[in-house]
Amino acid sequence: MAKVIGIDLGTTFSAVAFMEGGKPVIIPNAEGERTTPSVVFIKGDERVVGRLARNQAIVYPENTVRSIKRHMGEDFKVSLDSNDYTPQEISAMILQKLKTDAEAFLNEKVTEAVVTVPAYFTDAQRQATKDAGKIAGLNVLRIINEPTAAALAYGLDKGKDHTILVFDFGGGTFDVSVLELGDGVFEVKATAGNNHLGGDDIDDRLIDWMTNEFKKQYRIDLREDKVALQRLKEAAEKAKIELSSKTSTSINLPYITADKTGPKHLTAELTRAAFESIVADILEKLKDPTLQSLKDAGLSSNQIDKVIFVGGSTRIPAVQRIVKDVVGKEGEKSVNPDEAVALGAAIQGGILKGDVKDLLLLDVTPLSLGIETLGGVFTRIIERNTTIPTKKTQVFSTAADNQTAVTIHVLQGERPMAGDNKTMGRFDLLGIPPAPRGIPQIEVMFDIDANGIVHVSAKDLGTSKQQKITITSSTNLTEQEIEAMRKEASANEQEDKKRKEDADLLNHADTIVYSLDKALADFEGKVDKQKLETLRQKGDDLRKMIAAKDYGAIKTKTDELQKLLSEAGTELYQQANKTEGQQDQTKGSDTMDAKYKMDGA
Amino acid sequence: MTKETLDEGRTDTLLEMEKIVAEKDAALADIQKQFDALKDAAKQIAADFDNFRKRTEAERTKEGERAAKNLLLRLLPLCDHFSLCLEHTAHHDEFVKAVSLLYSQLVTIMEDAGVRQISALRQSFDPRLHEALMYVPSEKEDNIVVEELQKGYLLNDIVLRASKVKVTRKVEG
Repeated sequence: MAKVIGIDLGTTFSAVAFMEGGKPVIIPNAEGERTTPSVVFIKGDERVVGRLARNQAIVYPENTVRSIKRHMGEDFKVSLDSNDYTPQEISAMILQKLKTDAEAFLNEKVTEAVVTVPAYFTDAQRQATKDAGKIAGLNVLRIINEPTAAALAYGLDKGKDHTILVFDFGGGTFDVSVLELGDGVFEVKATAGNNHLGGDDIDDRLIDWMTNEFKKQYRIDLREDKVALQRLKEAAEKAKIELSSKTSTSINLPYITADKTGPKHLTAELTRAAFESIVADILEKLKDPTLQSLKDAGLSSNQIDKVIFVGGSTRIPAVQRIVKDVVGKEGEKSVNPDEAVALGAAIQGGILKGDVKDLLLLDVTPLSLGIETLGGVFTRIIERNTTIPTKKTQVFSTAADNQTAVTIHVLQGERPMAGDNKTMGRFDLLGIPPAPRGIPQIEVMFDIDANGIVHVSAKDLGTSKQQKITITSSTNLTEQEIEAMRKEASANEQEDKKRKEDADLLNHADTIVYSLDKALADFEGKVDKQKLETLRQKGDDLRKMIAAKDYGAIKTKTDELQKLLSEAGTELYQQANKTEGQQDQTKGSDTMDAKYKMDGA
Repeated sequence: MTKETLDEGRTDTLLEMEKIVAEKDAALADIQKQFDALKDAAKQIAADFDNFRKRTEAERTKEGERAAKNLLLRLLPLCDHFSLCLEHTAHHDEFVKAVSLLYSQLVTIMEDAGVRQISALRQSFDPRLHEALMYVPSEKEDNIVVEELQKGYLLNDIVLRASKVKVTRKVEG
C-alpha cells in the first residue's frame, strides 16, 4: 500500500512524517535534518529549498523568499529573478522538496499527503494550501488544523470527551487554540495568538543584552561587526537552550573583537532569573492571547482538561510556568514540540487510509512480570511497557543441594524485592532429580497472549517435567492502582536499591560459604593444615554473619574469604603440578560459577 | 401437477437449499478460522515489531552513550594538559607553544573521529558547504569566497557546521 505522508508546512520550518508499524516517524531531509527551513531560492532554472536557500539568502535577497505562509490565500505575488510567483507556487516548492526527500528516504513514490494549517486559516487559505499540494504533485487527502494534529500526536483522540488547550510557541509565531473532543472528533472552540512573536525574538533580546553589556564595559558596539554578531547569535541560542535545563550558564566568546589596547573577550554569567527578566515583556505577551482563547471558548481555566505544548520555544521553563499560571495546569511535553504537528498529520494520514490498527489494537503490559528468586529478590522476566502478545524464557536453577522441588512465585510490579510486589499466582514443580545446587536447569516461560492472559510454565530440562499456571487477573488492576504501584516504586527507589544490594550480598556470601564447604573436602591433605583451619574458621564466622544479616561485616568477610579460597586453590594446583601424573582434578571452580537463583520449595 | 408432487418438489428444493446453507456455513466457519489464525499471526508480528522498535531505541541510546564515552575519553588528556598549561602561564613563549600543541592535539582527535575542515577561501561559493554572511560587489568575479569568517567542518560526508563566509557578487561595470 502506498504511503501517505503528513506535512507540517510551517512559517519558518517544515517537517514531514509517515506511519511505520502503527507509529508516526519523522523523515529526515536530504541534509540529514529533521526539520527543513521554509526558505526558497530561485535563480534562472535553479530552485533551492531549505538550508541551502538560507545559506545564500544574504547574497541574493532578490532571489530568496521566507515566511511565505504569512501570505497564503492573499492576492499577493512575490517577484523573484524577474518572475512573479503566487504563495501557492512558493509553498509548492517547499512541499516538493519534502516530497522528494520523503521518496528518497522511503524508497518509493509518494503521491498522497495530509497537510496542516493554523486553526485560524480561512477557507481561501486552506484552498491555497491544497492547491500548493496539487502543484507539488501531491493529492492532499485532507487539510487539518495544526492544534488538532498536535492533539493526535499526543493520542488525545482516544478515550472520553475532553477539552484541550494547545499552546504553540515556535520560532516566529505564537498560537493558542482550545479544542473540544466529542465522539472522536476535534472541534476548534477558539484561537488566539500573535503572528509575529517567537523564539527568534528571544534570541534577539539576548543578543541585545550581550552587546549592551559589552558596550558598557569596553565602549565597543559589537553589532557593527558581522563576524562577532554571528558568534553572538550562536551563543544566544546556546544560552537559551542551556537555561531550559540549567539554572545558570556561562557565555564565553574569547577574542570577540580588538581595539588599540588589545584583544577583548566576552565573558558573562547568565542566570535563569536574569534571562527571564531580560525577556519578561515577550513572556508577558503570551498571557493575553491565552486568556482570550479561554474567554472566546466560553470556558474557565478549570474546564480545561489537558494542556499540550507545541513549538521549540515551549521548552523554556518560564513559558511553561506562564501557561501553568494562566491555565492552572502543567502542560504535557512528552512529544518533541518541534515534531508534534507533522507526527499528528501522519497519524491522520494513517486513519484516512484505514490503518488496520483498530483491528490489531495492541496493548502493553502496564507492570513488569517476573518471579521470586533466592533471597526474596524479584527477577523480572517481562519488562513493563512490553507490547503483547509476547513470550520470554529464562533458565534458573536450584538454591540447595538435592533440592527436588521449586516454587514458582509469579509477581507483578516495579519494586526489586518480591515482597513489595503483587502476587499473581504460585505453583510447584516437583520431582527434580537430586543434584548439587546450581546443576538442575529449570526453564521458566512467560507467555502473555493478545488478551492479556498470562501463561507461566516451568520445565525441568533434565526430565522434561513441566508445570504451568494461567493467570487471567493480570488486567484486573485499575489504572489508578497501576499508577499507585509505579509511584510507590519511584518513591522507594533509593531504599529498595539498598535492600536489593543487601539481598545480592547475602546471596553472594551464601555462594562463597557453599563453595568453601565443597573446596574444603578437596583441599584436605593437599593444602597446608593451618590454612585449612583458618578457612574453616572464617567460613563459620561468615555463616554466623549471614544468619545475623550483619551486612557491613559480610561484605568484608566475603571478600577476605574469596581471596583466601583462591590462594588455597592456587596452592592446590601447585601441589598437583609437583606431583604430576597423579590424577588430581578439582571441581571447585565449577561450583563457584554456578548460578542459582531459584527459591527453595 | 397434483398436490403431492408439488409438496415433494418443495421438499426437494428445501433440502437442496439446506444443503447449500450447510456448505456455506462450513465454508464460512473455515474462513473464520483462517481469519482468526491470520489475525493472531498479524497481532503477534505487530507486537514483535513494536518490541523490536522499543529495544532498538533503547540500544541506540546506549550506543550513543558509548560513542560519546569513547570520544570523551580521548578528550580527557587534553583537559589535563589545559589545566597544566594554566598552571604555567609565567613563561609566555612556552605558554604559546603549549597552546599550539594542544590545538594540534585537538585537531588530531577530531580528524580521527571523522571531522574535516571545509575548504572555503578562494573556492566557488557552495551553499551546501558555505553560509554567506555578507557579500562584496566585484567587477571581475562572481560567487567566490573571499573571506572565511568562521571555519566550517564536515563529519564524514555530513556538514557539521557550514563555513561562514564573505562572497563576491558580480556587478556590471
